[in-house]
Amino acid sequence: MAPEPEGEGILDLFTFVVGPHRYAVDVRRVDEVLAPAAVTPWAGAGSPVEGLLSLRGAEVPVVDLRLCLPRGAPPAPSEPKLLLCWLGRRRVAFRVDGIGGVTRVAMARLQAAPPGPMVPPAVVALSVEGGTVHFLLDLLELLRRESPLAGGPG
Amino acid sequence: MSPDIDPPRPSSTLAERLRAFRYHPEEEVPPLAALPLRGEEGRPAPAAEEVREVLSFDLGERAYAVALGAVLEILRARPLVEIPRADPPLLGVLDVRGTVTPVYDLAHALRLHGKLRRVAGPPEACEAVPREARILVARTESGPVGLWVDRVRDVIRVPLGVIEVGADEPRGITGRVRRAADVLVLLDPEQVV
Repeated sequence: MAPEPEGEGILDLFTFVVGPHRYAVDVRRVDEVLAPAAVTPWAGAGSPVEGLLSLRGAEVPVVDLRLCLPRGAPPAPSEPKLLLCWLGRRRVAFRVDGIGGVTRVAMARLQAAPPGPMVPPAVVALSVEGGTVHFLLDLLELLRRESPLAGGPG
Repeated sequence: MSPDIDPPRPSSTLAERLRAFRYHPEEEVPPLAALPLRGEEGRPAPAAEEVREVLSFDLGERAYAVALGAVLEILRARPLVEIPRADPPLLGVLDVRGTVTPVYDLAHALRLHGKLRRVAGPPEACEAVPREARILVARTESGPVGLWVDRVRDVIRVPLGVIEVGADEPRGITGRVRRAADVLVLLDPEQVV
């Protein structure tokens, strides 16, 4: 029996689909995968924040990732979900077009994201395995770009 | 990969960006997500240890796993001692260092096939034991039980957050983990046989 490799050189990713591309986040960010649920509009929240999701006594903001990333038809039939993620000590639900699953990659095999419009925003690296490309998405960086409060000093 | 070739190291810029990519409970969160929301204050961040170690194995072409802590040992599959009029999915028993251990056909228990393996009784009546077949000896409240599987794979660390639990899972199935190529079905040995 050969245990899977572990350590600093390995990344466990959770993959999902938005528009025509496949993305991945650190699997430790993922708290739950939820079926699409009713979202309460949030007064003052601008795009891409949809509103608040009531989740077992807690309220978490819902961000529509489809408004932040390139649009288009998903690469394969998929089922929209809400991906409940940890950002620091808070949780945010991200609306995605579909989920893939857990995969493990060696960091040495990752490719730096080339600059330019061909790569979606906030993508830090590319994982290419078996002809399938996953964009490693920095959710914090994406939200910094999209935040209606961004742009001010600090 | 050849053992005498070092893999290329990520560039420092990439390594830096990957550090930001990885989850840290103390990371700086942009204002969008930092609003004081009811019920979220004081919520503990997930610990890095919130993972479940499971032993994965195959039944036919499907991937399954049980909690690593429930597995006492893995034995190469071998012909068993027959129990007359045993009810499926019981295949027979095995002497594991003096302990008579019942061995169950896990694929039959999960209704993956209707026919019980013929691996107990006189050798001439038994089917050949495949080379990769194994018996997982698992801990249960009623004592150790053997689970006949087609192939043992790996020990996998599964973050608890990615385990999907359906409302109407069949008995013995405790969750599912979607992977790039398949779905790993998590089993509770106590319930499945």
